[in-house]
Amino acid sequence: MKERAIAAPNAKFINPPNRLKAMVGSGGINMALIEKAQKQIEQNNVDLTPIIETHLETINLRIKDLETQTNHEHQEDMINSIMQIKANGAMFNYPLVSQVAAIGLSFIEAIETINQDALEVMKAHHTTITLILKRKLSGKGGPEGIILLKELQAATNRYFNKYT
Amino acid sequence: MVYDLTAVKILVVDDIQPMVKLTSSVLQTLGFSNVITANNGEDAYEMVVKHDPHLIITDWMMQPCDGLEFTKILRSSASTPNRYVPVIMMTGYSSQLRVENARDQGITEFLTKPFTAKDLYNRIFQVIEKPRQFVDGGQYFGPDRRRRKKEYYTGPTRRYDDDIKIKEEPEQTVTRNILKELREKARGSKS
Repeated sequence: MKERAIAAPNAKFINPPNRLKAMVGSGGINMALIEKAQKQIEQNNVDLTPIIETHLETINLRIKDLETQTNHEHQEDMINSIMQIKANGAMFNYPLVSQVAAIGLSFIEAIETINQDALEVMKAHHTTITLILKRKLSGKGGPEGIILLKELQAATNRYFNKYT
Repeated sequence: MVYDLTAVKILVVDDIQPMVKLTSSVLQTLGFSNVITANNGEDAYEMVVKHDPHLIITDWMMQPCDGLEFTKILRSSASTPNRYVPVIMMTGYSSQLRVENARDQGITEFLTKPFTAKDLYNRIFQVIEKPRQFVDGGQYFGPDRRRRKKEYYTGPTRRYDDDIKIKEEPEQTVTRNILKELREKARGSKS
């Protein structure tokens, strides 16, 4: 619809004045400042656990709901919560949580129908994130983190081996 | 010579308060001294009308008014001081379909969360140096979603961030490989 609107012969193309460029000049931002900003992200010590736990609770509830009935809103609710965990975990010292959630999000967005097997995969992600928080595996997670990630890979592989 | 960002008014919108604080403080470190904030799309629009920011960085999923709805209002309302203001949307979503749908609401650039300082800088650099032209097509008013090929410059000119190497940890490599394999399997399951 929108593509048609853009392609319509009466569509107007406008080049507005670049206010930002006029204000800031040229040359980019000094590399040292970008490195300093990156350290700020890595060293911030805000505890985001309560927010992640709220989203874990939502995922848990929605998995239970989806086990009994297909519901698009419940599905989107679950996807939103796993996305929020992926988005925010690594910003607040839980990169492993973000990585597990990224795998869960990619999986759930990739499959066409959420069935019992798909929900089992999501349960595995839920359990893994809960475990990481419980063990306070903040930071990179180390060898234990790699094992957890590979277990999730095996779970998603089992699903795709069955359905492809 | 480097950018002088001191006069730039930048609006940061997110419903997770620690995220607003972190993003604001990172922007201040990068040189933005005029950072204003809001916690949802509704409050953000009030800030737009009041302050006329030069750049907006907003989260997507917020209550009661999300980042997409906010952008839609921003692009369409007669009360907006500058309907061409660049909007960078932060989101954890990266699926093509969701991003394309969001772009239809008038988003200028996307910043995938979690992000690094370099990712944030790259998006800011993009809106400053390679602004999108706007399209007024009746049903759609917003940045042209097609980026011209010539805008993707791959020549030898070095930028400040070219030297910044963010080391990938072993876990990140494992995750990247898992995600790649997962996407390939998903493509296979749909074909």
